[in-house]
Amino acid sequence: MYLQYVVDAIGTGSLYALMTLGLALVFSVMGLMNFAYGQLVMIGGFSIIMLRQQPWWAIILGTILVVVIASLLMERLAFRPVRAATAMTMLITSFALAQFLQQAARVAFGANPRPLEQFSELSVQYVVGDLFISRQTIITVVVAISIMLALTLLLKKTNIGIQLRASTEDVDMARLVGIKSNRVIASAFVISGVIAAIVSMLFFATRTNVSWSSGESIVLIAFVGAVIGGLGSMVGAALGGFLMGFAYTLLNALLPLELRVFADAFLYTIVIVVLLIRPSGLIAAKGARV
Amino acid sequence: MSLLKLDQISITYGRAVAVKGLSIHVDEGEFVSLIGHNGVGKSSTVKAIAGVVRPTSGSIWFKDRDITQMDSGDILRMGIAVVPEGRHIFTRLTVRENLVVGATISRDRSANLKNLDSMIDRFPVLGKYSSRMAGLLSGGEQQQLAIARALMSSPTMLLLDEPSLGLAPLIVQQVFDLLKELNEQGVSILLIEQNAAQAIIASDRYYVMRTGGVISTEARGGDQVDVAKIEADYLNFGTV
Repeated sequence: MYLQYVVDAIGTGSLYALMTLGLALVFSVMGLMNFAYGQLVMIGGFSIIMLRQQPWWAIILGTILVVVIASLLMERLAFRPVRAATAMTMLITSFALAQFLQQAARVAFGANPRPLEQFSELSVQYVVGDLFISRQTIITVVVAISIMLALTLLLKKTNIGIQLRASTEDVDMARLVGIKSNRVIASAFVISGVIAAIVSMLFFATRTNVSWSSGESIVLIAFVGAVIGGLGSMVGAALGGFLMGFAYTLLNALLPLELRVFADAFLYTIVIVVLLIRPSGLIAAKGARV
Repeated sequence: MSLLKLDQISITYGRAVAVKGLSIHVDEGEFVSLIGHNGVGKSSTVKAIAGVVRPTSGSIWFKDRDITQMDSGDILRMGIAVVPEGRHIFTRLTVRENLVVGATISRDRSANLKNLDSMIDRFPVLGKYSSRMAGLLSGGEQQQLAIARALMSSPTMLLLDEPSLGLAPLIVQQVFDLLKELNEQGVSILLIEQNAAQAIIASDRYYVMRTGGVISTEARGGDQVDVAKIEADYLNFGTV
């Protein structure tokens, strides 16, 4: 019985770990907490609705393409002009952008949630001993692990990855060795966009609708995950996001029925306790700034 | 013909004047030191040459081109590589990755690899620890790495800001010996130092910088120079 909860918690944890990674990557490269990241996931949701009648591979590729373009446009039009400004200015820019995109989606797609036809192929359940494992959970875990491995390889083995890490640590010195910050930051937004697109597919596969406000809860989870993981550290971000999802699922399953509506309150109480004990997160990165 | 020429440059931050009307030059193949106390604007001068800060007036010329308004990447591509104060190696990258990053401006993969091999030949310690996080190296090793990283771009000129800072005397000597050796192999050097004695001995020529960037002397360096006398003068210059 408990093992079943753990399996479900691992599924949610993996999804949250991915969400957090996409947000943390951009933060670590340019010190920007991009609160419009949730809207990238929302845009992904709407593109799934638009592409719902297409074959599965077209849905995947189309959604990735749309979200990556949205992410690049964000960088170019909203964040590049304020890059030299203070972290606070960038933060406010990202709030404004998040609001703008939400309202734009509301105008374009209506205030009411758009129903999303379920992907019945994903709800197939496998029985392993006493456990039920859905295809959705398996796909989520496999995809999350693959993305993390791919990201690790990219950061360790490719030139752009090494340049990204160098810029993360010391952006002024990176410029002095000839690293083009425009290029590095744009590639961080591309990667962040790919991750947001994949998150949107894994997330909306379990939902029955997409709404203009769908991104809100996602960015909050990712933000808190990144903070408890330790801002600026990729491993910390993945870990923090995973623990958020893991704890959330277990709380929802194990709390007495009358307390279950307060699962969020319990979760954020745990977050506060973690931050009291480790103010700079579980895995603190050197020189990280908010 | 001067390789690098600073013509009457001034640098101000808000109302604070860091450098005022500074003119210096470095000829092809020359080893020149710019010495002076803390706070006389040496680092600002380095930053201006490297394209990190813009002079408020005056111009900077390199290979007969005006580089005053160029950005850091283009200045590096022109051939000036910087070893900044405090080394600024990438501590969370491996030693090898630091060197790879140093060659960012060159797209020629095989040339970069060859360059990497020659750095490891020249700096055996970097070869020995090539897959180690650079932050784990000792101060002297980190300084070698910072210089090697700068050399990875095959520069015409090295611009070093206080490379002796925080190093043990023996290690400082090794760094100066290395710079001399590089200079003999054809790399022009502009060295910014507080450690006046050793800088003067190592260099062909030196400038003493006073508060506000006024140059007091321009004289020949080398080991025949009466360093004690210069240091005495230089200390006087330093008092504000």
